[in-house]
Amino acid sequence: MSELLTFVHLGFRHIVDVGAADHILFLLALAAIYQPRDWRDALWVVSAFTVGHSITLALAVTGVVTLPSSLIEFLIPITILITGIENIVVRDRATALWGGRYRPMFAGVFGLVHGAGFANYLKSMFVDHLALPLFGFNVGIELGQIFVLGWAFLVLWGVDRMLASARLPIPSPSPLRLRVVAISALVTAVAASWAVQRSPFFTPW
Amino acid sequence: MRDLRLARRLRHLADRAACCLIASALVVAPGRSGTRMHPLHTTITTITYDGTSHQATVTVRVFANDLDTAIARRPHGRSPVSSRSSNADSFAYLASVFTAVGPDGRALSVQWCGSRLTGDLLWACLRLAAPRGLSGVRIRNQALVELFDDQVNVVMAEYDGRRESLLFTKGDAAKPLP
Repeated sequence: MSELLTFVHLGFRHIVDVGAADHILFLLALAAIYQPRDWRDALWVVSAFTVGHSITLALAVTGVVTLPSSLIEFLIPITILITGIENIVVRDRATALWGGRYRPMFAGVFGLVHGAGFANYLKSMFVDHLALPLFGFNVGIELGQIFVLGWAFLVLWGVDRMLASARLPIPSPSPLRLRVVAISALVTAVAASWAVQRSPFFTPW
Repeated sequence: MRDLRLARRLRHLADRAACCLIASALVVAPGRSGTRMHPLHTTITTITYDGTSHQATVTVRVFANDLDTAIARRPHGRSPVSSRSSNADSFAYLASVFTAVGPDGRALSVQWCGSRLTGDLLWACLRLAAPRGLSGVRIRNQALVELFDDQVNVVMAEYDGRRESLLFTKGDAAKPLP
């Protein structure tokens, strides 16, 4: 296997692993508002997340910026929390800010936070040669995210089918809205508990 | 009209349920956790072959704390987790998890050639006697897989003017260098 492919594999595995719950939940929160036919919008948002992720990773690994791990560990669940809350609060995306087209920017900014999550680790590990491992790792992460997104759409399609067959007695809220609220609430709840656990301002009771 | 009222009530109920779920997660959130959100468990090993001495230098990059924990968990692990493991302990551990077998099926002899600590990272040096080169040598690296299910060990070899990489996860068998 070539060196590049090895690091692509490493990045891919890092995202599709069960231990990557924070990453997977964030992707689920990003995808929750879309229907399978909106896959291009979702892909655009996820790619913006990768761009943000790659920028911080490169800056932190090359030593341009130094970020305190404890703060980043706290900010990661906060980004998931905000995404979940935004899903719940914004009922009509057509009338939202910029017609709801701010999401890629939003995902890109949050990607900056997530990328810092393991930058210190990679910085130590790839101390002598960075460019190829870092590039391969980021490509692997993007491929892993597309894979997770595919699964997320499958889950969302299943939820939609379930809600449609439930024959709700009323026309509103729509099955899509119910799905968005249910998934976002669940994701937000998990992220909220992580944020409390990792808060630098919190003393356990 | 009745449907509209019911719909509004259901929508409010869904929103309230969402708020309650989030609030309850905050209340039941256990104490502060020291673990990382999304740890990356990996070791990087480079193998450089010297055709004149017929020896390969293996450099294993591993986080010292993880190595200490793995050594302490061994049946006769002497090193307490709180202190750095001795070179003898590190060698015994690494020689057991990193193996190289020649094309003839015989294990290549491994020697310790030192270590250095850079921050949290330990660079451990092993020397392999490979009189017939590295082509066809079967490598296996199961470092730290007993600690982390998602452990991935990368092995990069440079020999005969080529660079090859192998990737190992928990339970992987030995893989040949082409």
